[in-house]
Amino acid sequence: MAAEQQWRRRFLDLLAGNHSTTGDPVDAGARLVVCDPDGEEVFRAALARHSRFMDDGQGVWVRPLIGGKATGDGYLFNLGIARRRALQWTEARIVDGAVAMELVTGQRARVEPADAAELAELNRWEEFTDRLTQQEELALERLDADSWHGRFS
Amino acid sequence: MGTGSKSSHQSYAVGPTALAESPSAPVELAGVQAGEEIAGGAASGGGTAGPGVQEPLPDKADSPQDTDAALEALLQEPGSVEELGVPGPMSAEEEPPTQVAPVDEAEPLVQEQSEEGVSAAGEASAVPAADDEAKADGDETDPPLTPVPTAPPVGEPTGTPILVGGDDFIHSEATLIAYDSPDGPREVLLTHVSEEAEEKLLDALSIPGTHMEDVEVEEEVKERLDLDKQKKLGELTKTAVTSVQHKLKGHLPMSEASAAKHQAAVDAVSAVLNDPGVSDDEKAMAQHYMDQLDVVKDKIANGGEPMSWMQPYEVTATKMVTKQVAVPNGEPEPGSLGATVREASRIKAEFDTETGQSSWDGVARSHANGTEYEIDMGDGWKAVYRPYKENDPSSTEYSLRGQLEVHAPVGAGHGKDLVERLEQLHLVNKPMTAAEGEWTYLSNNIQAQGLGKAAGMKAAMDTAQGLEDLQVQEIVHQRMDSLMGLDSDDLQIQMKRIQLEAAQKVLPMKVEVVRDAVAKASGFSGGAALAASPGYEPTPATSGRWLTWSRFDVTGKQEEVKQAFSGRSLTHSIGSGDLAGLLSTGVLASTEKRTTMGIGSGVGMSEEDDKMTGGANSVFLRVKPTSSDLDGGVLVWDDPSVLMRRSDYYGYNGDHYGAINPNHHNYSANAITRDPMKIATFYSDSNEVMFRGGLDLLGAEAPSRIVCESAGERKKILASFSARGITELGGKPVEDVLCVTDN
Repeated sequence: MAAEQQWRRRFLDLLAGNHSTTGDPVDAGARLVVCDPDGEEVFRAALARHSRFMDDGQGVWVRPLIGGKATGDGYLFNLGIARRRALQWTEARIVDGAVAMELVTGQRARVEPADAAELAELNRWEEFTDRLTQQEELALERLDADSWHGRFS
Repeated sequence: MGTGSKSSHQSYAVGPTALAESPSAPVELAGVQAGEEIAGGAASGGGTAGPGVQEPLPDKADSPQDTDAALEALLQEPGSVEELGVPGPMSAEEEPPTQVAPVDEAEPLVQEQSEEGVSAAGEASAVPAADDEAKADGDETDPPLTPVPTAPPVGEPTGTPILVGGDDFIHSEATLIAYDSPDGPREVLLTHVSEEAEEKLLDALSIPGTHMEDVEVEEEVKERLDLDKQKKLGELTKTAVTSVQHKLKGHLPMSEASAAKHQAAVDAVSAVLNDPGVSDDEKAMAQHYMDQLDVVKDKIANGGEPMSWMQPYEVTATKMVTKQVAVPNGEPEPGSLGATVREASRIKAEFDTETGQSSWDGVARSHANGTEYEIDMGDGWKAVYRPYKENDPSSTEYSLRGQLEVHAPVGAGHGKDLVERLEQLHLVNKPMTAAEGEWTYLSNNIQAQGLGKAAGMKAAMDTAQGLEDLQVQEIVHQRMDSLMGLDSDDLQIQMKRIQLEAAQKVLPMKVEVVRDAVAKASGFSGGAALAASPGYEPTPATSGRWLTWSRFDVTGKQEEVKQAFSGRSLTHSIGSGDLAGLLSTGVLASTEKRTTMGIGSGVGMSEEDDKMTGGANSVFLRVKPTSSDLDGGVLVWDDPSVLMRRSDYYGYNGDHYGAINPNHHNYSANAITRDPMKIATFYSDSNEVMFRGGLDLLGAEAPSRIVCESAGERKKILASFSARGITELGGKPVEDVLCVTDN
């Protein structure tokens, strides 16, 4: 149980950027890397800072930051694309500062500190969310919508 | 053909053009007599050989003697006509070729002959007319399942759904949309060509290749000043804003780091402001950032609400920009339609939330990840096709593969021509008849119920194919005299006709054979018992905005399915989204449908996008306990059997991103299911059930509960319903359907 609490704590810290070395959490964040059972990387994206653990205790909703694009109106995200995703694990633990998960799909996931491209994308996301209303931001943070009907879809 | 412009384009026998040795240019059916021009394309041939497993025709005959030999070969080799038309009845969308079950190789429907029978291309023919007895006699007695409107309603975002005969199109569906535009209605046919039918379409095209040429165009661009970029004023200001905003949004205390970032930005901006050498524009830019930093300073000192979004300083300039455009390398081959290759795109329509109308200027398109052909059909008609063969499912958008748009010239009244013009693309161009509908119904049920590998199914398919082969041979014998002496091209044309005639004649028998096999595979004593069973509904449901086919294992056992879902509901949450706006459209539409309706920005793309997994063609629902506490913005079907009667859904007991693309890493052949009884047992919070196209929220598929976020939202929706005369949903008063979170 303690081990689970530890990795969950680490998971939340990574998303929040509490591992920042600058003293400012916005300078850090998390990314998700998923590999197939054969070890091939099949997914990599920054994660928004919000998450929600499922009631069954075996899954967590996250929001990978995908589909961002530079437009004539600045860098925008399509909230229909950057929708919630589920990570459901059979086993999870801390490995080298990251949270490593064995997923029910047979894939392996790592939630680890973001850097380079993923950290830059997280920064762009945070700037993008300044365009949203408080209600829209709260809706995103709840991670309960199956589709987005409104602006930026 | 009914294009009314025979001289403007070539007319071809559509359908079984997938000859093993098809000519490089499409076969021309010049001078076909009234009533003979074959509109079908789905004459079988795939049969048990399956898609792509085609026996070659005898080599092209160069002389009558060769032709005779070819005929002999045809007659002596039952099944040798199979190459004449190949597509199987199943959607090519879902399974990789190697995983196609035998049933997926079953034959497509047979096509009716042209009702109009206008001479193709208006040219004289050296080919003797086929016997009158070969004409289909069912045209008058077997009306279309869905009427084709002459003028689709202008601005109707979901358009008019129709069914096209045969199986050139996935689920035989097409949609006619008339977008509103200042120049008049822009009528478009949208459909999804099946992978098996693609070869026929490509056979109609001449793609001479393109090269890129530089073109100078004047363009208005917004850009930051050079000094801004050089001194990174925008970046420094943004860094300070983000840091402080983070604290404000999270109700956290301001940190030294935030203050330091602010100071760094202020120092850099001040340096520019105090530089006497900067221009007025540059000063204005610096002042713009200083104003923003003043707001940040106030927030650091006093806290408060999060700041509004702050724009960088940009100026608009007109510039000459060099763009590359694709230019054809040459003229298309005679008798074919010229096509150019370009990056894939989608119609960029606009949806007006006030009027509920969709509009499109005929030009605007949004970028997509893939390749498409722009096809000139003559007389101001054009088509856009996104081919399977050019769009690798591992690296391009899966949901766009096979998408076809046919565009009429601006103006109303092209509805029927939009369908008939499909012939130019060598595709079936007639509405589906009831007889064809039963074949489609059986095909859908075989796939939905997983009956493809059931005992007796392959034998039934073999028998069905054998019936057709025998019929072909019989007709060939009857017409041997007229066939002798034809040159190879004319012989091929006649053989195609014969194939279609044969397929059409034996269709009722084939349906009977397959119906019997399906019946036995699903526990009925025989086809007659199945057809007489109450759940057997071989026509599509037309619930206003969608056409859907049912599955008899659900419609015949509605109570059992209801029982399986007892205490469980299907839900879809839009969170704090615009519920009233969604209900004003009347549909919960898939991403792809929403795009054609003009809903959504079309911004963004990702390899994890549902467009890549194929999920973008469907809407996602989740199985949840009926007793779940639901927040606002949730559509609930407490009786999932209302939706489970459809034959086009699939599900995962977990988040697989709706993957139906076998090449996507989220696809799982072991986890995907179409079994409603298994779906009823889904327990994972992230389970997903995908329905193709979408759901009609106001018709027979209406949700039983719509959970609003607030009483105000409920009141607003009720008022909207009242104004539109909507008093009930799914047989329940709207007041009982609409509830609020507190309920």
